[in-house]
This record gives sequence, C-alpha cells and structure tokens, in this order.
Amino acid sequence: MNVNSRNRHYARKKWTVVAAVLTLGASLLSGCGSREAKAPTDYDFYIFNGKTENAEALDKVVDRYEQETGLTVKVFSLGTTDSAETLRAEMNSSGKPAIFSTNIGGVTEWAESGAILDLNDASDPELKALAEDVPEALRLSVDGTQNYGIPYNIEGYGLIVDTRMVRDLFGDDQTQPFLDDFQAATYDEFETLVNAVGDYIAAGTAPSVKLNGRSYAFASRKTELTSRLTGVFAEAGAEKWTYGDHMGNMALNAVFGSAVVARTATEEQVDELQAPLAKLARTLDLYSTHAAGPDGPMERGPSYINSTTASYDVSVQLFSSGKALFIKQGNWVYPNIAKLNTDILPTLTFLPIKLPLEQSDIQVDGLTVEKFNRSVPEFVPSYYAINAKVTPREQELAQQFLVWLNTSEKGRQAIVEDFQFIPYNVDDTVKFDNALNNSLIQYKLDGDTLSNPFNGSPAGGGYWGQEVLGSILQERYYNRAGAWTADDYETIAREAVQGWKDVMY
Amino acid sequence: MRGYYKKWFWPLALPGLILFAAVVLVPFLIGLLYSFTAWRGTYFVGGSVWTSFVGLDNYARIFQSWQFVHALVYTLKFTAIAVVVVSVSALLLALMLDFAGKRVGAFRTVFFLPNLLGGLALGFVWQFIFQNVFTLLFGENGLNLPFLTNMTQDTTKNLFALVIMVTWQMAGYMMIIFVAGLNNIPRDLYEAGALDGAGGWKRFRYITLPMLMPSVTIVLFLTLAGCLKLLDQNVALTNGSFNTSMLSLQILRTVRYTQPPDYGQAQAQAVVFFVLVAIIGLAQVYITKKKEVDA
Repeated sequence: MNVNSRNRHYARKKWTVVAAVLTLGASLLSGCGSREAKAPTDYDFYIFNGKTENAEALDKVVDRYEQETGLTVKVFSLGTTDSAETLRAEMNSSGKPAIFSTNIGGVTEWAESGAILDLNDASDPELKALAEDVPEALRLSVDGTQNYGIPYNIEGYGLIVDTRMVRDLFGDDQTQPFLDDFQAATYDEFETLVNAVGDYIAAGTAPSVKLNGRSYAFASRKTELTSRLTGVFAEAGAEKWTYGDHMGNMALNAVFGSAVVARTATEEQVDELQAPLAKLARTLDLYSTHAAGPDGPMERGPSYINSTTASYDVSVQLFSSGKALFIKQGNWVYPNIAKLNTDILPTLTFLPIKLPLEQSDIQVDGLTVEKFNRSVPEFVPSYYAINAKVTPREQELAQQFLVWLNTSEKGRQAIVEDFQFIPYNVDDTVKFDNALNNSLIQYKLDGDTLSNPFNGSPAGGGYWGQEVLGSILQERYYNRAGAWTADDYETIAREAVQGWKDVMY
Repeated sequence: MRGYYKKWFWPLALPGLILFAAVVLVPFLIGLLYSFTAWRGTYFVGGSVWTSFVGLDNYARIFQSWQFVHALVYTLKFTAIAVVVVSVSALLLALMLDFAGKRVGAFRTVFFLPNLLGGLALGFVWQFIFQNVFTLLFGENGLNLPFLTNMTQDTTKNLFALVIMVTWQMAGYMMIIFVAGLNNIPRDLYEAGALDGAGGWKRFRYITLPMLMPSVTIVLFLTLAGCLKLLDQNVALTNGSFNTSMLSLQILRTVRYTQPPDYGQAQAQAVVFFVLVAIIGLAQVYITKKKEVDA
C-alpha cells in the first residue's frame, strides 16, 4: 500500500468506528427516552425511603405487611442528604419505585417531570379521602392547589432545656412557673435572662430576672448540676444548617406563612426580610457570645467554626454533659442524647426561640409578636409520594399500603411505636417515652406552632440557608473575635436578602 | 511479530474499544447533546430531548456565574502551584533514593504509601492536621507562623493546604516514574561527562534532565490532569467553604443549588471543563515531547 491509500484505508476504518459508536449512542439515547413502565417480576411494589431514621423499623413493618397480605415489597432506605441523586437514578431505571419520599423542596422537580401522582386523582378512594384529610398547612404542593403526598411525620425544633437545670437555678417550686413564663416572655426579658445566667455561671451570683413580668431569683449557691455550666447555649459553629437553615427559618416565618409562599415570593416580599434578618443577627450575636465550651466559654474565632471542636456531635455532647443550659435543636437529637446521657432524657423539654421583632416586621396575617415568641416551628420533613410512571397495579398496591399505614390500627402503631414518629394527625391520645416528642405534641395541640418557609427558599432550601446566610455568618462573623455592631446586623441581613434575589428565577 | 499484530489487532483491541465506547465515549457524546438542552436529570423540560433544546443558553450562562469563574481561577492557580511542587518534590525524592543504598526498597515503599489512601480519607486526616495540629504547632504559643494556622478557613491559605496535601499524596507515585527513568539513563554518559570535567550540577543539567524528559512528560501530564480534576480532597477539606470550590465540586454543586436540578447547565460546565483540561494537557504533552532526546 502506498501512503495515500493507507491513509484512505485508515480514514475509512476511522469512519466505520465513528459510525458504530454513533449508532450505539443513538440506540442508548432512544432507550433513555422511552423506557416503558414494565411490571416488576421479583416484587409487587417498591418503596424508596429517603429517611434513615426509620430505615430498620420500616423493614420490620413491611415484613408484617407482607405477612398480612402475601405481597412482596422491596424497600430501599437512604439518608436525606445523599438520597436525591440515588432517587433520580432509580427513577431513570426500569425498576422504578412505586412509593418514594420527597419534600416541599423536591416536589417541583417531580411535578414538572410528571412522576408524582396528585392524590386528588388517586384511584383508591380511601387514599383520596386520606389525602383530603391532610390539613391544608401540611400539604405537599407546588403552588397550593395540589396534594401530592402523605406526611411521614412532624418534626420541630426550639431551645431544648433540661428542667432539672432550671430547678437548680431557680428552685424546685419555681420550675413549672418558669417554663410557663419563659414561653410567654418577651425577647427583652429573654435577653436579660441570658445575660444574667451568663453572669451567674461566671460569678456564682446574679440579680433576679423578670419573665412575663414575674421575678425569678437565682439560687444562692451553685449545685453540682449548675456548677457544670460553662455557657448558656451549646452552639455548633461548624454546621451552617443549624443557624443558616433553622435559625434563618425563624426570620422567614415573620414574612412567609409557609414554604409555598416563600417559594413564590416576589422581590418586594424578599426585601421585607431585611428587618427580621437583622433582628435574627442580633439574636445570633447573643447566642454566640454566650456559647459553652468544654472547659469554659467558647469564644468566637477560628475554633468556633472548627469542625473538630464545633460540630453537631460536639454541641450535643456539651449539652448532654450539662455544660450548656440550652441547645437549639430538634426532636431528632433525642437518640443522640440517649447515647450520651440517659439521665437527662425524662426531664427534657422545648422552649420557644424568640426574636426581637416588632409588629411592623411581621407580614403574616394574624401573627402577632407575642404569638411568634411563644411558638416553635413544626413541619413535615418528608412525604410519601406515589410514582405515576409505574404500572397501574403497582400504583394501586402502593396506595393500599399507605392507607394501611395511616389508618389501620397496626399501621398507626407502626408509626408511633416502631418509627417513633409524631403522626401528622396527632391527637392527645398519642404519648411517647420521648419527652421531646411529647413537648412538640403539646405545642401543636395548643396551636403554638410556626412553619418551615426555609424549605421554600431558593433551591428548595438547598442553597440560601447554608450557602448564603450560613456562609456570611460562618466565614465573616463567627470566625473572628470582637463585638458585632448594629451595622453588622444590617449588613448580614442586606447581603442575605441580596443573595436570595440573585438567584430568583 | 508484525504479522501477529496485524492479524489479531481487532480481536485484541475490540473488547477494550467496546468498553471505552460504552462507558466513556457514548456517555460523553450524550452529555454533549444534553448540554444544549434543559435537562433535569430524570426528564427534559417539555417532554423530550428535542423539545427542550435551548441552543447555547447553558453555555452563555456559565460565565455569568461568579462562582464558576471563581472556581475556574482557583483551580488554575492551584494547578500551577501544585504541578511544580509535586514534580520537583518527586524528582528530589527520586534523586535522593540514589543515595539510599540498601534501604532503597524501604524508602520507596514509604514514599509511595500515601498514594494508597483514598482522596476522602486522606482529606479528613489532613483536615484534622490542618485544623488542630498545624494550628497548635504554628500558633502563637508555638512557632508563630500565622500563615500555617487555620489553613482551611481562608481562600488563599487553603490553596496551599491543598498543595501540601496533594504533594504528600502524589509525590511518591511520581517518584516511582522518575526512578524508572533514572535507571534507564546509561551510566557511561555520566562517565564520559565526568571525564570531560562536568561537575554534579552540569551532569544533572546536561545529561540527567534531557534523558529524563520522557518521564517528565508523563509526570507533568498526570499531575496536571490530576490537579485540574481534583475533587475528593476538596470536598473533605472544606467542601467549598471560604470560596474554595474547585471546578469539579462547583459542577456538582450546580445541580444541588438549583431546584429542579439544572443538569443541562451542569453538563455545559462539564463540557467547558473537559475542553480546558484537554487543551492544557495536549499543549503540555506537545511542548515537553519536543524536548525529549534520544540516547
């Protein structure tokens, strides 16, 4: 072969390979688009569970359901943070889940793709009725008109306190009055209390404080318990979600009554966050200047955000060992505390987080400052949704399972006893060994609850809380020593508002 | 022998080619196509690939994102520093092994060991070292070198923290390549050089280095590509805090920070990323290849 013909020979071969590859590619591509729903052969329906908390318990409960019905159910559980990508892979595969978990942040995706069944159109009349019974404020929807899911449970957060610590600070007969008056107290009273407790920890004495107008005097001597205290709050500076998402959510609650309202917010509404966010910054300043450390107060600076000294686990440890009076966390922290100190479990309770709001800062209809400051946020973290892209039989079976889980005696028992979940339709007959769950139920029955608008912030809560608000606080304020000024509060708020507006679409 | 290869070329090459096509080439081409669409990971806006076609929209939006531009510059800065530090350290280690005598095997193993640790595990180990050990060692009560304290809490400091970590991890591997290259240099060249009166530096400059160019090409290529694509260590050390996201992490974040997840946009970023790595890599190979000499 001469050079020319050899080149031509290679050129021809090259094109053969390219053509082969393109054909293969095209066939794969067409395969992606038209993967039809096919009846599964080795199970009757498939549950994708995006919550690790009930992973083991769900397996057991499904076993019972299988025995009762003779069906074969596939269950796959994966934690909330990693589950999104895996769920997408499963939704693209030929073995699609019939029930999957999603939440107010993820629902837009599945609604747009058409993979989520609007339960208003459910084929099973019992499920349709069940869905209609979900209170409007707890419904899973894109813009408030749909009803896409059955809630897993209710979670909530606030300032957790060991009531024995209150007893030792203010006296046995003052414990219950203190807890009641704390709930009703104003922010200013709360601020005075925090400063006084700080003084008491440092000096062993502090002037008496007023809560809800009533005076509380500190015990004249520290007890074994109160002498452990090194600070008022157990903070986790390395975890942006604790202040970016959950404290940020407090400020959002002043403007948005729900996640759906936050998701559909206008620029003007986002601007209204300025004042509540500045007041949140003032609150976070108070918390972080009274943070507890292992041997003394934990001061702001590099170690305040260091992941080995200021992680979630460390903060739970500080609280569990009595170094801090309060920890701002949710009822999900209960199993972690149980691993560290079972003694304090029975005496734990929730107190509300307060912000120094004025009535003019609040845009939510019917919400007063007084009501805001006595309430705790409670919301549905995950929902069971039905996949509209599996076979009608799978959809039918999936609906029957959800009906069984939420209405039958055994199902209700599974939710409360096996999952240890607060049912979304909880009533006063439900009681737990878990004191934090009981405390949340009490707030709910009293109607003293706020919402989860942070789940409606940009990227369904996946961006703004941590990457905007959380980053500003962590990377520019928590990481350095020195006082914050009123200007700092305004700057934090202004940049957090701008960060939201930058990604509005 | 030539006949053998001629006859068996396709049967021997085909399995590899098919695998390569199936897991690299085809997904790459599909990805290229998707980068022109409003792809959301499990579906296309509007129902199909063709209805969700958005032209160059995704590409136009790439450079409007300051996060992407910042990650791009950060990645290039890191790569420029890390490539030099890793290659020079590896070469020095390799040259030092010449003097190690009988213990050469032991040294080689020890230097190579860090490479066996996965990026994430390594990142978390070093995170502890940077946050606590370095901060204690170089703090006010120690050697008082503030630049080496809290290295993961600052954009610039973290760049060098990454360089330190990557050097520790990659230098041993690159050293092995240099050792092999050094062993291939005929001893008589050095003898001839010595007879002509060339000292240590001159022998290194005019014999070792030119003869080592094939190894330099490989080492530079591997470190360049490895540094540009670095992900695990970046995730473990800071996960992007303090504006320390490199490109790989930034692309991953694009789908997390959008809802519904904007996979089309992320795919366009990945294509730009690929072109960048390809251009830099090819240019480097072209330049260093030209400097290679035959013995």
